[in-house]
Amino acid sequence: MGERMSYENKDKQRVFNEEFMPHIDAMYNFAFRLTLDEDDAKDLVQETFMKAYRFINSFETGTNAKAWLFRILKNSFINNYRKKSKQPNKVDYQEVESYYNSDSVNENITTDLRVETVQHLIGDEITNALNSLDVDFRTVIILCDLEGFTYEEMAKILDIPIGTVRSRLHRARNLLKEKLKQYASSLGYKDKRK
Amino acid sequence: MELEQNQACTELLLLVIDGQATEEQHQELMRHLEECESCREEYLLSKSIKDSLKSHIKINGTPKDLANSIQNKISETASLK
Repeated sequence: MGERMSYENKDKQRVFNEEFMPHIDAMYNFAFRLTLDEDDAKDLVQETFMKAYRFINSFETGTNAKAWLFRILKNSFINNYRKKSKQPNKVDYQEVESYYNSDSVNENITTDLRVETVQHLIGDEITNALNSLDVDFRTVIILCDLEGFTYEEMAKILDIPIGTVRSRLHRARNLLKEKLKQYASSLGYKDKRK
Repeated sequence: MELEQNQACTELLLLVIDGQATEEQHQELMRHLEECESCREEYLLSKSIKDSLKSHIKINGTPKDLANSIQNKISETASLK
């Protein structure tokens, strides 16, 4: 990185305060949904803002600051937390699992997830279902459904093609439906139907 | 053939639900929903899940000291230069 002094120090702080800081709540929420831990989330947000300040010259004023910040946060998360937990790639497993389940569902289980059932579920059940998804699937749902990013913005944040964003989102939603269905039947919502 | 049709429907459905469909795509889906019950159910279900996520996922309040501690670190960094 060359020393491209696009911003004077005073401007840096102004851009930082006006364009970056307003997103702190969304960033914290995203960080918490990824790490599922308050302290880790705090550290992650802090680290993201420090990086944002350090690389502020690569941010163009007036462009999408939120997407830019989310991308830094996501990359920091991968660097810090993924490497540590040397888990096998769970996404592959869950994808296989979801195909398997979707086949068996049609044949064996007669209970479908219904709109009324979803409306009866409370926050905790939905939160738990979301948190139980592997982080890659969780991430696309958070970005799309909670934060309202477009597919194109998500592709940039996640560094993957739009087609992959869409198929991952589709799979994530199917998995979420499966989880909600499990909750619903374990809680006996099935019986509420006539 | 039917499978391809299904896939096309699913894609269209997601675009509409995520608010990223064009006006024509939106109308195409609405026309299709009038005559296809399984897609209609799928549409309503997906929509209700998305709405539930939006309204029910607990937003964890940002810790009060976080903004301050970030501002302080930035000021420190800035004054070192």
